[in-house]
Amino acid sequence: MSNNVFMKQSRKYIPLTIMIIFVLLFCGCKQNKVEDKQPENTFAVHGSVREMVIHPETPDFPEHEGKALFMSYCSVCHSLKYISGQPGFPRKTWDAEVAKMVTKYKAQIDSATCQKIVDYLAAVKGKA
Amino acid sequence: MVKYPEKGEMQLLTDRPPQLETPLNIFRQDFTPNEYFFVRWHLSQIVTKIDVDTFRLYIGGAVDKPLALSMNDLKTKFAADSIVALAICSGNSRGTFNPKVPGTQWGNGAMGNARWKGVKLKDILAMAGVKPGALNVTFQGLDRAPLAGTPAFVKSLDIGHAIDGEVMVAYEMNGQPLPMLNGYPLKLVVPGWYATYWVGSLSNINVLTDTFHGFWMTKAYQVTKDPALNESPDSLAKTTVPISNINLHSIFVEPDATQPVNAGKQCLIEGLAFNDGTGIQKVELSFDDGKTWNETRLNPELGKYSWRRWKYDWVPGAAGMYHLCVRATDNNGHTQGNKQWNRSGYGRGFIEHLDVNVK
Repeated sequence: MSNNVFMKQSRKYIPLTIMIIFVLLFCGCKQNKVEDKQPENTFAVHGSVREMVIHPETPDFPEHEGKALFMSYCSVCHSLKYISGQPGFPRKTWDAEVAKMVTKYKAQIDSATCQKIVDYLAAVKGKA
Repeated sequence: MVKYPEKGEMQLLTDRPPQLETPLNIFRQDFTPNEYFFVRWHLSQIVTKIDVDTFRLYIGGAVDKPLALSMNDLKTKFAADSIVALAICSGNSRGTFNPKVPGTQWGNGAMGNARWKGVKLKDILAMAGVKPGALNVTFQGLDRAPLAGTPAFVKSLDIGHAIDGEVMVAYEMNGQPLPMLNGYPLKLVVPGWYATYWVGSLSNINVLTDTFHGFWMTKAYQVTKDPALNESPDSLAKTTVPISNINLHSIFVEPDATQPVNAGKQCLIEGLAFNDGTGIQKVELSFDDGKTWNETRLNPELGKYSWRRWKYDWVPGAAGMYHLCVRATDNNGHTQGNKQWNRSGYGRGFIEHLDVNVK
């Protein structure tokens, strides 16, 4: 009996519930669209102050062992576009590049991790 | 292609820090518009917000009177100076080196020609009073690296060069304040030298009584002593020196090699030639792989440190693929070589080729 009353009452809310679901779905889609689109870079002058906003993008990289290490360590100081924009190189070139980041630019990467990053680069950006 | 603050559509190479390349068709003008002028930074924390009322240019070290100059000081306490000069990245055209070398893979668009306005560095140093025994002057901007251990971007010049009356602290390019991405509010202009010395968002000038040994002068931007900046991948030069003068080079700008041109019809070939201020005596084209050369028309000189535009009216005969070469000769009679390679892809300066499809 009480069940029945509940059913009857809740039936009243069906159109509203459907509407809410549609609104949520629509907002969700819209949200996705906004996320897909790169936000605009801006520039403004306020009196003596100049300000710009640049939104960097993260390029896609192939799945391969070591990808997560490569992406996290190599993006500390610079855009990963530094790597996506390179042609393929032999392993010894990647070895020298990663070593340079540690010895010259003082990146904090231990040698075991360096090797895994070099492995990744040699695999996805190796000499064709 | 991307649109960055104060910039038109440009080729994005990296975005943290930003490196943007000028599209080749922009080079059909004497001066490169600010909104298309190439962008190159080294450290990823570049200045994104600045108040010119509180900004100061600091001059210190071996001087009688250290200075903190406001933008207003620079514009009112010194005579304004102006110079036309080519800014060109040491690694311009690196992407065309063979075998490939690591580094930003620039095409020919990491350069631009502008009229710079500002104050002679000589005048600023005179106001500070350089102490006897000064040897080097260092330059640093407001850009920083995320890690404390990364060497700060500091460049240096010999004192004699710094006070030669040509090196300038510029606050305008092409009649406008510099875009933030090009080093607003101040940029060091070192006419005839590669743009690695043209420090952007310049904030600190320091006079030293010894030689500066910073990373960006002794470890980075090193080249072979060979004047043509040529070395062999099999036997790299044992000793290197900091890169300096702009190497003699000429490039094609038109025609666009991706489009065919019409047989029997006049086709305008045009391009650019430049060097370190020695000046361009002639630019020649070859249609037979360098056996014979045809002199092009040079546009009027815009200043000794400007690039020089050249043009040639070509009427291709029969249809087919044509192989063109361009070479420049400087005012000392020195001409470009046939091949060049170096480990860092710096100072490209050999004869360029263009394949044109005639239909």
